[in-house]
Amino acid sequence: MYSNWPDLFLQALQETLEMTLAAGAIAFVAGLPLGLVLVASAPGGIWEHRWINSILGAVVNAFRAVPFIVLLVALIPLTRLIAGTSIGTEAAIVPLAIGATPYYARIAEVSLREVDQGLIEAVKSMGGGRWTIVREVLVPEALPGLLSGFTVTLVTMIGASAMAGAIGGGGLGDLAIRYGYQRFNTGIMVGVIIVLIALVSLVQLGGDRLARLFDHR
Amino acid sequence: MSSRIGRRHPETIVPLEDMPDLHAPASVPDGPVVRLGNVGKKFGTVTALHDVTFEVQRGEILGIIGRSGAGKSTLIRCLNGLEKPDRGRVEILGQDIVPLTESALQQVRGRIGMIFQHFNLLSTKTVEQNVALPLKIAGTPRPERTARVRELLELVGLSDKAQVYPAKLSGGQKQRVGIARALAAHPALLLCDEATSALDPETTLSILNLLRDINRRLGLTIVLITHEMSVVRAIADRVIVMDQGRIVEEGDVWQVFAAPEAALTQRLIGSQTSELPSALRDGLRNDWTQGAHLVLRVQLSGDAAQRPVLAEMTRDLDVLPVMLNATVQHVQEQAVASFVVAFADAGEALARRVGDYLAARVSRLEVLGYVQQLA
Repeated sequence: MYSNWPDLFLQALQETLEMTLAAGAIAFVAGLPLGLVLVASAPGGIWEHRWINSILGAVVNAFRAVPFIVLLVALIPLTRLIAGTSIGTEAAIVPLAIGATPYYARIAEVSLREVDQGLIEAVKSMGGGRWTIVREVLVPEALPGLLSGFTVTLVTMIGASAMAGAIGGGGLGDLAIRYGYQRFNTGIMVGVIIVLIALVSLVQLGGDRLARLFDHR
Repeated sequence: MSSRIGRRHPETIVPLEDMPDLHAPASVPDGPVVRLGNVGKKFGTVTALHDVTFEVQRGEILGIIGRSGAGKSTLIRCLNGLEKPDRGRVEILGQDIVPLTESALQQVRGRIGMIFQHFNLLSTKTVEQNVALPLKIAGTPRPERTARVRELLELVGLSDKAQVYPAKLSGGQKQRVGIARALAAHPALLLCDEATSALDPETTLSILNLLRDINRRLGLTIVLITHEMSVVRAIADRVIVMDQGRIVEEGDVWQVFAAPEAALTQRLIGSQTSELPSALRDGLRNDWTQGAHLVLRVQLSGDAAQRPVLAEMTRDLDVLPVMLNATVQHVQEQAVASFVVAFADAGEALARRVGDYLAARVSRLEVLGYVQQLA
């Protein structure tokens, strides 16, 4: 065991949190509108646009089809453009956010689509326009699902961030690979797994609590 | 005798005299509130509406009845532009809304309230917030909104539920919230889309009571669609019967009840008039045989129902009818009586005499046939 292992763990944990939270926030802010556009532009939606719907759907699918480790490498030029560097924790946030956004957009789309059409019709019958429907019906009614979906996204991103080590992003996964696997340090490996389980459980618990808070059904 | 509205139920609302004064609805121009001219609508190859023409006068309650798939849902959605007809005119307060843009339609919808079979309350908003939503959309300032919501919740008898979420309410209470919400922006027209179809009979009656009271108190015009004749009978002034996208019958409710013309109307009303016991029905023959009884169905309505027609016939013709079944219902304060009577050993001559006598005095006469045994 390394004498400085508490520092190794703390730093890795901090890097993991930094990557997932920053990229998660971006995925939420960008994915939710994307999900809204996907639902609204679908046939029978409140803003029917066949072209926009199929193009957006195709782009989302394309990003989701590429394995994250490939995306990480393929996006290096873009990462350098945005973050100014292609290595390090900050640089890893870019591909993570780009990978998670379409992922969350699809999850948000499912939640938004499940909102009762009758509620949309009711607000339409009051003279409400599209924005009113989005603000008063779609988002609030889907909120429990949107929050649960975000929890799922965050957990997936904690896993994906392990690959960020490939571009020097650090984090818990990277610690496990470098010390636990490459240096045969089983202690560190087990330690990382325990920390990851605790982290994921905590995120899931918090997400569930939050979702229930907004559920009045 | 089936009762009209007016019975008191546990959920019955506060008497209207004790209600705060609701502001009069915004001005409604003269002329009919709704005027449909030759409205047609197709979904693919299916004709949902075929050449539908009718008017709804101010303060009137119009019931549109039909089986599912008759086009009544499409029709009511045409009235607030949720559905656009392929042809024809839909005039609301004198304005044809068919050519309107979406944003112009939103203005019109602000003057039309709507309630739904499944209530369609927003689950994430409290009762108060649900009722306030049309006002928020209309841009009413917050203090006014609060005052109006309080008034409306009092009207529907739910003042104590203002802060509750809809999930905690019963079906009847949810529909009351729906009604309060539909009335919030002082509509000139209220559309009811199968508003009582998801409710039990007693709650249905209390909701219909409330709608009738609101209609009388505010002079609010109401169009309701339903598949239940009992709903039409309870509150409508006029009824339109629809079948396969067409209007097959139209008229004052009591008149349609007294003398339904279309086969569909007769079927819809059927369960509400006198029926023969099944044993008797099976024994009915078309031709007279020695000793058989003549069985007639007689309907009296309006003025005819006020006269002792059967007693007079007994005296004038010296015949003794046997009563097999009878109902008297009051529709729109008009009595509609229907009974089935039998005449013992009535040969052709007697049958003709009775027939001629009754045909001149009753609203509707139907020879059901001859039967050997009455029991």
